[in-house]
Amino acid sequence: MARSTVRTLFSARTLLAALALLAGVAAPAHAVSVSPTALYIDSRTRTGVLTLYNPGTLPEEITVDFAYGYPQSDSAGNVSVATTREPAAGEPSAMAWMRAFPRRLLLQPGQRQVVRVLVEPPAELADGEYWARVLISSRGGQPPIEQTQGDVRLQLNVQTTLVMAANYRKGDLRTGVDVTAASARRNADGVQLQVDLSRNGNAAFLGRMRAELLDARENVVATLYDDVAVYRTMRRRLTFAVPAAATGAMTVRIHIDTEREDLPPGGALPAAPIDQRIPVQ
Amino acid sequence: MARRTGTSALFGGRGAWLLAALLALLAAPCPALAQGTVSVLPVQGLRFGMLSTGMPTVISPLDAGRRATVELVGSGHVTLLFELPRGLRAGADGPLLPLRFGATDGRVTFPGSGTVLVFDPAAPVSFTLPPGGATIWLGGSAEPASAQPPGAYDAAITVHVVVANPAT
Repeated sequence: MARSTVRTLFSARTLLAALALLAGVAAPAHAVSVSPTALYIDSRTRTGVLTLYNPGTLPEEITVDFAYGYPQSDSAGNVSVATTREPAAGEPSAMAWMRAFPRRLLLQPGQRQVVRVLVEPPAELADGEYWARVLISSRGGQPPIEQTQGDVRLQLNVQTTLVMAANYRKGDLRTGVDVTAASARRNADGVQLQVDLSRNGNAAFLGRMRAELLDARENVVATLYDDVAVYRTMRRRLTFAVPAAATGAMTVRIHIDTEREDLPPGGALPAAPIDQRIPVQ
Repeated sequence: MARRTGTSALFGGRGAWLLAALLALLAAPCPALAQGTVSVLPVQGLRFGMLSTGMPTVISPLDAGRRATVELVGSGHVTLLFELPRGLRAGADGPLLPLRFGATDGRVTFPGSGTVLVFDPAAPVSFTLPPGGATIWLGGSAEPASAQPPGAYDAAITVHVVVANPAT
């Protein structure tokens, strides 16, 4: 029989011990910090560098691995990055060409460690961009939460994996984006903007969209920003909260460019900006 | 008879205010994080309490005192995968005390919007982490057999939190 022991936790000493234990195990497990936020490796160097940092108070066991994947959206404009280690034939995958050094490491609290990513592409590779995701898994940054009652012990462990772009670029690269459909409709939540984007060229479009809601006098009554990564196609939905004072016919004005301060220099390839107006229905 | 101890006693009496203050401190929002970065805060593991032979113990994901709870703060697209043990085991090759996790034993709650996502912890669940963060609840049941041998039983649940930056 599995037994458990009743324990009295009323005494001040035990209470303090329990609180100390709680404080110890309940500290947030910050995922290991990684910079830059994405890797864009060119064919001249064939090398990328990641810097890992452990901001926690306990050692982290780190594993670096690769997969194939890119951001995709569903019909509702939700974006996700599905990864696979078995990309379909014909996909522009760089996964199999990438190696990390070191691949496993123990990162002490406060320690930084450089991880180099080397790319060994096949010969005669056509110009273009080839996609992969680097997976940085960390565990051990905190002891597991442990519930022990009598002879029953149940641990709760957490492992965190950061999934980042690791793209390989070769030769002449071009990118851009087209708005293939756009609509703006008033609903109970405000004004819902839906924009369908399609990439052109031979590399991913990494940019941002600024969407402004204009009233009948062309005053901006609300502004939304959205970072977008269009690898093939992308649907985005944004909802404006409409100020009560805003009445009359409204319009949404969108501006899409490649100003991405969150990406490393050269990460976002240049492309012509796009401006478009969409009447609110 | 199944008896439980721990949480209710800890929360009662003079220590309650202190514990509440501590929890409030721990739950304080973290500084803004970069896109695609998430902090994970395991708050509580599953608490089956006393287990008796032949008596299943069921923990609902809505049972605040006994469910497992993990909080997420940050931004990005999150996928959760649970490594769920078949049961508690007494030693490496010892007897198994079965654990079961049902198709509705997982919950993701979004405090900012009040939305709740019900999920099967045996399958991955994905969502975009909103500014208010998310809280994960996990329930489950322990089913000791009527002839469950005595012993020290243990098991581990691992929560894999996969965070992707969908804008790169």
